[in-house]
Amino acid sequence: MTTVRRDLHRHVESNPGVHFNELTRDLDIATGQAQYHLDRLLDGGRLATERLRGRTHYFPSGYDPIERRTLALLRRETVREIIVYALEHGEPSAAKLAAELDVARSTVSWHVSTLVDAGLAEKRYDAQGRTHIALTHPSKTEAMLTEVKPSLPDKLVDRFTRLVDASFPD
Amino acid sequence: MLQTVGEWLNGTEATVLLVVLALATLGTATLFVIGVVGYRRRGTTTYLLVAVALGLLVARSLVGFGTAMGMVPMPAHHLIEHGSDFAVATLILYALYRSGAPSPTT
Repeated sequence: MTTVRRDLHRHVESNPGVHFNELTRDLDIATGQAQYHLDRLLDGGRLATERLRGRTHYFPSGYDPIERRTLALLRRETVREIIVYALEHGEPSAAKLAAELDVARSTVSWHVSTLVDAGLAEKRYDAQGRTHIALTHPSKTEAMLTEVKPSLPDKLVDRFTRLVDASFPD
Repeated sequence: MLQTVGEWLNGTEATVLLVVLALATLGTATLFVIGVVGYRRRGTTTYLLVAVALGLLVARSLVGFGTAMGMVPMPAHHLIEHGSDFAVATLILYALYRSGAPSPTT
C-alpha cells in the first residue's frame, strides 16, 4: 500500500466520519489523488462511506449504517446539540428545541429533517398537532457521543447558518 | 515588493497598507468560503444573497491590492469599491426585505 493510501486509511481510522474536504485539508493531499486512493480503499472493503446532505463521510470498516450516520451527524455542532437535548429530555417539541437551544425555527426544522432522512429520529405529533422529535436509536446514539467532536471549520459553518437563519427568518 | 507599489505611496505606508490588505483578504476570503459552504448546504435565495455579498468583500480586497500595486488606477478603484458597497448594501437589504414579517409558529 502506498504511503498516501496508508495515511488516508489511518486518518479515517482515528477520525471515523471525517468528510472529504477535511481529509484533503488535514493531510494536505490534492483532491484527485485523495479521491483515487479513497476509491481503491473503498473497493478493497477497507473503508465505508455515508452521503449526508451533500457531504461524503468516510469510516473504517466495522460500523453499521446507523452507527455511521450517527457519527457523521455528531460531528456537526447544531444537530449534535439537538441530539443531546433529545437524549436528556425525551421527545422535545420543535418549538421547545428552538427556544431552549436559542436558534431559529428554520434551523431546528432543517436539522430535524436531516435526522429523519438519516433514519436516526422520527417526528411525532401530539394532540395539539405540535411536532415532537423522537430519537430512534437513543442508547446507540448516546454511546457514540464521546467518539467524535465537531471540528472548528464545521462549527464556523454551523454558527454562520444559525446566524443567517436567525437574521433572515423565512 | 515595495518597488512595485503605486507612486502615491511611500515605503512605510505601502508596508502598512499591504499588511492590512493581506489581513482583509484572509478574513473576507474565510468568511466567503463559510458563506459558500452555507449556501451549498441550504441552497436558499437568502444564503445566495449573503454569499454573493461576502464574495464582493473579497473582490474589494483584491481591487485594493491591484491599486496598491499600481495595476488599478485610482478612479477605477473608487468606482469599483463604492459600487460594491452599494451592491452589498442592496443584497443584504433585499435579503431582509424578502424575509418578511414574523408569523406564528405551529
